[in-house]
Amino acid sequence: MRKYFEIGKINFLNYINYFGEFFFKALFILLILFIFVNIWKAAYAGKAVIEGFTIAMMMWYLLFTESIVTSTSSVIKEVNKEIQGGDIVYQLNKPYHYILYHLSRALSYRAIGFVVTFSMGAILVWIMVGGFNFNLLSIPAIIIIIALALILDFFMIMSIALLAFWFEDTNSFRWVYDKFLFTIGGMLIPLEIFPKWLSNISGVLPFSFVAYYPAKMFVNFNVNELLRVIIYQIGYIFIFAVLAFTIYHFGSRRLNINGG
Amino acid sequence: MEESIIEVKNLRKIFKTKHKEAGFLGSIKSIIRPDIREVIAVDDISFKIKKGEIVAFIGPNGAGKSTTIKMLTGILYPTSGNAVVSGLIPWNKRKKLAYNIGSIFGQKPQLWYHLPAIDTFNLFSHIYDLDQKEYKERLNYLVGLFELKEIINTPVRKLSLGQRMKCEIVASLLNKPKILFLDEPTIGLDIIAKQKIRELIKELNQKEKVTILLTSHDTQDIERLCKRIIIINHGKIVYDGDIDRLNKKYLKNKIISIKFEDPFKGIDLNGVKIISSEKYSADIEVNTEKIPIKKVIDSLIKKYNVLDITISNTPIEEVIANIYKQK
Repeated sequence: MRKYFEIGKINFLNYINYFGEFFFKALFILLILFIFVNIWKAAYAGKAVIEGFTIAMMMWYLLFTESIVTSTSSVIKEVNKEIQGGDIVYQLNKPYHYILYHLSRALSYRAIGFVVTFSMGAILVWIMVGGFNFNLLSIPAIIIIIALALILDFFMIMSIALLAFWFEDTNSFRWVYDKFLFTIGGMLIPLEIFPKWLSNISGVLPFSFVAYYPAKMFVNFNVNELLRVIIYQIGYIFIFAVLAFTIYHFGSRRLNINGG
Repeated sequence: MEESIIEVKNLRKIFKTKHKEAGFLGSIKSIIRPDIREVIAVDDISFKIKKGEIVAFIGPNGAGKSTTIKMLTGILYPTSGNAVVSGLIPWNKRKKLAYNIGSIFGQKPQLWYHLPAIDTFNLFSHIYDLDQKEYKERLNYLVGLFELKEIINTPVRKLSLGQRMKCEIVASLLNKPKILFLDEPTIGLDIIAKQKIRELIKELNQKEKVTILLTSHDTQDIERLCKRIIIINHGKIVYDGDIDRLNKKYLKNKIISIKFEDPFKGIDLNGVKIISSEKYSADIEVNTEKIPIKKVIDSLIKKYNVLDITISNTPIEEVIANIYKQK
């Protein structure tokens, strides 16, 4: 495991050189947040609470989901390029697993992306709607849930990315995946606002364990629900890790790199 | 008899490629009924490489050398045939084999561009699960050998190409590989840097008995480093042997560079071609299968007052180019 930690570390050091990229990406997200704050302010007109969320909780929720989802790295693009263009060769001649190498890369990228977006967004949200009753003791649990959410998201994305062994471009699959995260994953609005039946279904699908549950835990920490969320996250990570490794196992056998 | 570290037997790789006709209709057709064609990239090749050998493995673009190397490093699965590299079947034990091999791709750096080379070295020490004490010793040795002490803490982007290549080589040697795959190790370097890299590769080969498989389009790399050359073309091995023998086998032509006291007025002999001439000098190509070189020189000396004469072989790149052209 040490080598994957070191791969993550060197990527982290390297990504710091691209801090400007993270900064400008976060600036754009601030603009989106600004628009959403105003929309929600209109929706909250005359109401203190909607489905258990005050406006402050709603905005911090939104900041949290945005910070997770938009911190996404370019795994699909990289894997696509490596498989289709043949650069995978330069990964496969080292004694590490291709998928775990990308996991280390993605997590270091997303750690920076999340922290930058969340920190900058927190200032804006604080100024516009103020704080909420945050449980400081929940921080370690929240960190674990974020880490699991990012790992789960990675394995789902990687399962799509590795389809590049069969398909020329997997970006369209990614597009659909993103839309699931935005909607039934709870990125744009909490699942409580959905009709009951849709909320129930979305609540057990893997997408909500990437965006909705971590954000909900952040704004409304609940020890009883914490364990359930972690169990679901680990379960889904297991399922999608097995899926990704299986796709890789079969895909790598049909690797078609000509030339040279 | 020395043991083989690489053994390849009847190795074959067939790629399936999709063919598409031009235009919109072509695209529709390729979706409904894709035209899949087979391309034989490597066609039944066999060879053995002994421990400590430096072998040039060359061929024109698309000849199959890169595909062969990818199979030997376990990256590609062959369609049929066998290979044993350092006692392992590469495609079954890719990760295990990776501990025993090093590779340098001149066109694909493995160093982190924005970070000092030492960061990459440290990372590789973990990737290869090296004992940290042994790694430090190894690193010190290589840093001394490659004279890198002053630059390992400088971000790679600020290094010259030659310095970068030295660091690339050091990165590939940290795990004490038994086999080194060198793909265009001197590409883009100036003459001095090329010479230095070649010297270091040679020194390493002699000191550590590391087996080297070199692919390069630079014939100087091949001539200076390798005794043996394997030439692959259209997926088949067309030559496997000493470079000297390659000269004897394919060098039917010699070049006579000659200077005269009198103006040069040509020479009319079967098998002799004037490549270039000036008033008092000429370069003459002699086909030794048609006429002995001695006969040509005798004839020139008889006809002219010769000031100076040099006989040379056709440059190796021309020999190789001629082999590449053969179907």
